[in-house]
Order: sequence, then structure tokens, then C-alpha cells
Amino acid sequence: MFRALTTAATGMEAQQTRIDTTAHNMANVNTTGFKRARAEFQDLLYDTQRNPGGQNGNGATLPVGIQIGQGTRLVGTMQMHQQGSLAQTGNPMDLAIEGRGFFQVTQPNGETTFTRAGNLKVDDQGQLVTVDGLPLEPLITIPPDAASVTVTADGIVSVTVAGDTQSQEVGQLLLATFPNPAGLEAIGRSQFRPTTASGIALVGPPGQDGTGTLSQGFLEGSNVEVVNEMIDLITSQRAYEVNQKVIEASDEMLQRTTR
Amino acid sequence: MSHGIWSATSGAVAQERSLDTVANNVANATTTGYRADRVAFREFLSRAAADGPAPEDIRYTAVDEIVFDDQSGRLQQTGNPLDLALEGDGWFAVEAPEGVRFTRAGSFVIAPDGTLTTVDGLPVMGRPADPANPTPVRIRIPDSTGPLTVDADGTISGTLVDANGVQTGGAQRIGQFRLVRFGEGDGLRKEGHTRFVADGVPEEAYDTVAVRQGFLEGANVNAVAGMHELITASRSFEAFQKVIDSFREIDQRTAREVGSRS
Repeated sequence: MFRALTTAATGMEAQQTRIDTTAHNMANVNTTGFKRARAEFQDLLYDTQRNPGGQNGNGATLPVGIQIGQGTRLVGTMQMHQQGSLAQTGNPMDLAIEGRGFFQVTQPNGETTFTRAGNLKVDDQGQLVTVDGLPLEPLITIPPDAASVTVTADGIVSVTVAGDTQSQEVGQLLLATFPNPAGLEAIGRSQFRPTTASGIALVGPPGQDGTGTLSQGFLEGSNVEVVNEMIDLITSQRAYEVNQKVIEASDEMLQRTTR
Repeated sequence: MSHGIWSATSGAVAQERSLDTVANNVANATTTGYRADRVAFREFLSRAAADGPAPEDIRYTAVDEIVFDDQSGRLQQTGNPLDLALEGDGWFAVEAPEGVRFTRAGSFVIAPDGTLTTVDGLPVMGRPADPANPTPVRIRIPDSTGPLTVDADGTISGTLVDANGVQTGGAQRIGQFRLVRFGEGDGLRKEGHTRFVADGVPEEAYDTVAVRQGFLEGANVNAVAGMHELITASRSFEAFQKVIDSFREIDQRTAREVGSRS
């Protein structure tokens, strides 16, 4: 049977995966702190019919061989950690990170996960929590009588109590960076979990060593560029079509052979 | 029987090989660092009836060679610090279980022990002290490393920080990628998984290639050329089939008509 049939099928599968990834990216175009994903492919093993450096009938060494490839395979999906665009919200509890850092979040099971989504809230105990109600690490408590909250670019949180003119410092937010953020595992709800591929989280105050600075009253949008995703969608669709054409052509050739 | 039918059959088989190659190219249209294959055909002669009164040659066609297109693919910006594209003539070296392999797919990750590897876990090689007799050098990213930068000459550096994330000095050099290039006789060939293998010992390529951090090199597959080859292959196959049909008809007629008159 024609090898081209199965080869083109692997190509169609690859394009399907790409479209799935694009669909997920597009669906999250307005998700705060979302990072777009990318599928990574490799070619499959080659069927070597003649090695380069072999000899022909006259004893001459052939500079090139005959190797026929058998398609493509998915090796991984990666998160792309480019900066998303900042949108002004005016809400003092909205914090955007300009740089490579992540907020640290404590999950109910005690695990620390990481997020770029800075749409924070104050819970009933006055603690700074994510929109899902998970506390930030380090824990910062806002006194109940606070009239206003200020967060500086380097993460120092201070509050002004009603009737008081002096502001008082209640803590400093810390950010984590990773040597290879692309290796983080996306676990949904805009949270990431470190893996062996991402490296170990390095925690530091904002503004130092590439962690990035904080902007109060801003939110970081997703880093999905609709135009780029559209281009990806179109190229995937066309590449899918070309692979389909290969299947059609092989089918036609087979039909002709068996007729 | 007419000998021409064998020539036409060899042509049809050759076109099938051509289609297989086109299929692999378009299947890998979005594979990082993939190099498109090209098929070259050659005519072979076979002296069929050399002893007869009138020697007759049969002309065959067959795939002579499949070469990969050495043009660079388009660079795509990804913004990932460990996505590295090569601009110019050069290759990354990786340590595969079977020996040293070469790749243009610079999408790297950090393994649990800090070793820089390919997406499928093969250690990426650092610059050896003696390029003529290269001993494998791995690139290890220390645990306490902040942002990584890679220069055009493949030098990778990072800022070291202590357990509390406080910077302990300026940018430190961590290592340098082994960048190599090949000559004509090195027999560079594909092995799959976007890796290549060669017979010769490559030379250093620091003056012909530049590393671009935050970019990846796409496949150098041209969809239009692919469609053109696809149409050519399937139409030529059709034509060879027609020729085979005609020869069959001639042979049938010969057998029937010549046979009936004798």
C-alpha cells in the first residue's frame, strides 16, 4: 500500500492538534493572565532505502541516499510566556505584573501554585486572595477599617485607616520566577504548577532580578493575539487541506492501479 | 511482449516514491526545524536482448537520490528564553543514545538535574575544549538561576540568586552551545525526530551562524511547491498507467489477431 496514505494521516492529526490549541487560545482571549499554548512537532523515523555514502554498481560512492519519511508526531505543548497587554481598570485590588514574575497562590491542599492573574479580592478575614478565594503567599491581611489600599511597584502594600492621614505598611508581595517558564504545567483556572522542565521557583521582591514590577489598577490581559491565532488557524486549515489532497491523490493512484 | 511496459511500470513506481516524499513534507509543514525532501530521478539502461540479432535497450527510471533542501525555514518569534533559532549555516549538537546527532530545532527545556535538553529529553551539547576531538560537554543550569540570556555566539548566561531570591552578583556565564557546520563529503542525513546524523567530524560554526533567543525556525516546506509536486506525481502516475494500459491492449491484440491468422 501507499506509504503516503498513512504519512498524510499523521499530518492531518498534527493539524487537528494545532487547531485544538488555537481554539483553546482563542476561547481565552479575554482571560486575565492567560498564556497562549503552542504544539511542538517532530518528523517520524525515516525508511532508509540506501544510505548516503553507499556505492553504486560502478563502484562510485554516492553522495546522497534514499530516505523516505513517514510523517510527523506531536512531542509536546508549551505555554508561551510573553507579556500580555495591560488594561486599566482603576480597581485598587487589580495588580498587573510587568516582567517575568508570578504571584504565589496556596491551594487548599497546601500546594503552592503560580499565576499571573492579579484580579485580587479581600476575603472575610481581610486576607488578600485570588478571585477563586485562594490566599496569596506571603499572606497579607488588610485591616477591616482600611479606607484605601496602595501597592507600590516593588510590592509594598500599605493601607490608610479611615480618619488617619498616615498610611501604614501591612506587608510586601513577593513574586516567583522560573528559568524556563515554558516548562510550567497549566492546571486550569489561570494557575501553573512547576515541573522538572520549568526549574525551581525563585522568589524575590518585585522589581529585582527580572521578577517585574507591579502596576496597581491594571490587569494583564491574555497574550493571545487574535490576528496571529487567525493566521495559525488559516495555515493549519490549509495544511490540513494539503494533507487531505495527498490522501485523495494516493487514493486516485490506488484506484487506477486496482482497476 | 513489448519491453516498454517495464519502462512505464518503473515510472509509475518512481512517482509513487515521489508522492510518499511530498506526503512527508506536507505532514511536517509545522514541524520546528524540519527540512523538506526533494526526489531526483535517473534513467537506467538495461540491455534486455543483447544476444539477439538487434540488441534492444530497456530504459528504466528510478529514484536516484532524495536530498533535503538546505534553505532556512522562516523564524517565528515565541518570546520563550529557551527557544533558540539558528540564523546561517550551522547546527546544534545533541547527545542521542546512539551517538552525537545534529538539529536545527532549538526548542529546549531544563531536565530535573538542570541539564539543558531537547523537547524529547536528549542533552544539548556544550562547546568542547578541543573541537578536533570533541568530548561531550553538557550544559547545566544551576538550581539558583534567574532569567537566562543567550548571545548570538551561543553563550548562555544567567544571574545567580540565593534561596531567598536575592541576586548574588552579576550575570554569570553558564556555558556555550556547540555549534557546528558540515562540508560536502560529511554525508549529513536525516534520522527522524528532527535529528540528523553525519559520518564526518564537523567543524565549528561560530563565524557562520548566529543564535537568536526567543525565536524558533519553522519548517522550510513550501505549500505551493508541495501542491505542484503532488499534482505532477499523480498526473504522471496516471500517464504511466495509460501507457501500461496501451501496452496491454497492444499485447492482447497481438496475441488475438496474430494468433488467429496463423
